[in-house]
Amino acid sequence: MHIMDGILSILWIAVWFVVAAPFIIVGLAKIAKRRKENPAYMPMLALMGATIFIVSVWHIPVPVTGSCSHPCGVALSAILVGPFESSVLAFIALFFQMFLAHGGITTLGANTVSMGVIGGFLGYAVYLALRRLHAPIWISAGLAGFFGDLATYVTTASQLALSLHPENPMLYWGIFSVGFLPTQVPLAIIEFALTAAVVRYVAINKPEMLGGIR
Amino acid sequence: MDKFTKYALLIMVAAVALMIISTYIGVFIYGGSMETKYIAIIENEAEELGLNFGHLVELGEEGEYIAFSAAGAITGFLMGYLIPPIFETKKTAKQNGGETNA
Repeated sequence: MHIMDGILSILWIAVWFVVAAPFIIVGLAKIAKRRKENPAYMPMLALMGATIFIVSVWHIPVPVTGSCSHPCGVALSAILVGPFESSVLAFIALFFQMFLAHGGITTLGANTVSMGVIGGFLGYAVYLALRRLHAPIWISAGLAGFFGDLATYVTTASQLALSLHPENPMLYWGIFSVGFLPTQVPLAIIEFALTAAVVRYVAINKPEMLGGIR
Repeated sequence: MDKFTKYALLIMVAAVALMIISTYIGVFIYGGSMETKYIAIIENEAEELGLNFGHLVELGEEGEYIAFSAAGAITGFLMGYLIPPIFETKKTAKQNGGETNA
């Protein structure tokens, strides 16, 4: 999700910006609408933005592999503020992370798609589906966090494969994904626990924050 | 400060403490190098392909402190100016005839 400048070809830089744009535009429109309805929405949105910024830039070590990586926090954000709004927050977080040598300006579209769009929407879809099946809220939220995290990195793998190895993207998608997994799966489990704990806590203490999907 | 905010802040403090402890365990007990795995994979691949990669925009260590401190201060002033009820206490809310968030 933090692909740096100079990695993707110009074609794919443009493609990922075009893919990200509609999600950002719809997200901004939704934020403007909800802001008019409820002024207290903005501070909560700002808090979620700060959460995504911190969580997705934090290096968490995985002792067994001797390496580290970042969780994402976008599934949690998508559940609490909505998936489109969460895409906007991810875009803003990634923009500021760019100054911390995480990601790049030319790859902002690609990174927004992998983290904000795919991670957020897939996590939200998992949460929604499991709640419809009457799964407990902590399992629904936890699995949303787990799959949202993995989906982000699997998408990053596909972005790299498509741009760097257009002759055989499926093979390299597999190679990149397998390379990411030993570090990313333990972090996805941490994200399971984080998302489950926060959403369950909110559901008990501030259920109105979850809207109609409790 | 209401109960929800108080517990949320306490949980945040606990989470940060847990993350810092896990970092120390990973680095000093298990000998981790703190290498960000997926970044290393991307960099290795780019080096093999001979790509000229990096960060077009980067503040550097000192610049990060200055820029983010300034950004935090400016954002704080903007938030306080644009959404004053956030910082209202019971006393000021009463004076303004509104409800408090505190």
